Amino acid sequence: MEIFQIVGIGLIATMMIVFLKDQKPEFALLISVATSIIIFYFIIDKFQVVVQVLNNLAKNANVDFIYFTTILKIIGIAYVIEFGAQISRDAGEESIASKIELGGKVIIMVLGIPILTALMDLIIKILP
Amino acid sequence: MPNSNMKRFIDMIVGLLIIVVIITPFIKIISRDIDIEKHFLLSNNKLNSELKNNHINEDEKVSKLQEEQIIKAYEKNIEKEIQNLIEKETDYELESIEITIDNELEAEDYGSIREMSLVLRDKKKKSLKNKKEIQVEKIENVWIKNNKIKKEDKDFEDSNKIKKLIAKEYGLPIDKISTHLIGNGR
Repeated sequence: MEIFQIVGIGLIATMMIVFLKDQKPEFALLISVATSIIIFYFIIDKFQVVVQVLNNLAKNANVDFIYFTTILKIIGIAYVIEFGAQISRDAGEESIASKIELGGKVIIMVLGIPILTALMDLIIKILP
Repeated sequence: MPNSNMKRFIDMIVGLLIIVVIITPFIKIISRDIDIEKHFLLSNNKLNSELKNNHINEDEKVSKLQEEQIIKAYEKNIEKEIQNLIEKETDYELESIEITIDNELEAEDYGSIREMSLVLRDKKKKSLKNKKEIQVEKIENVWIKNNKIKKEDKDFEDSNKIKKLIAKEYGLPIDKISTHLIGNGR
């Protein structure tokens, strides 16, 4: 059961961080980063399966490839940005976290631009 | 979905996609020659090429990969369309297709189809074959081993009809389209 492993690692890391925070705050940060990476590593396999299943579903439902990949890309970017921003926040660097989020937002907007322009082109063409 | 203020942005893009999906059928009713996916791909390409101009040396591989993905998606769409067309209009079904597309980004006719090669299968024969497979599976296996499926390079009887159909739909000269029928020689 991987869930117990994940929760166990999380709890142990939390305890270690709580003990270390007063004496060695820099190690506490390293432990939190390492824990995030380990947990990320645990879930990445599962995530692959989920994406595969979604891909098959989209194929069967005749959903267009472009729409599906765009949505997947956006959700993936959001998760990665969240991951990075949380680590920065844990280290007390709120400003860097917000910069990371800003980067993510801009990238998401850039991904959305083709959709927006296509939609606008269409609407303009339909107008008499 | 991740929470935080990122969600608003995701919602916006997903909302746009939903609008596109909803209005596409209506637009297809109003005017058949408008293709929203083509618009999407074109603006995507334009954006990519603009970004490419900004960082010529940077991320060349990534943009190349994106271009390839776009062309792949484009080809897939054409394949789907032709599949639907052939299945609707004729007694054949599409087995595979090879499309040569003008993929020079700077070219004026970027994205236009140069050549097309279709491999078709007779629907009736396939259904007959399936029936046999259900009844005597082992015998069918032996038959497959002894008679390898061959591509018939010669034109079959409906070849011209299919060629004309596709040529009309995509504005291609007929000599740029080739068709093959598999499972013909038994």
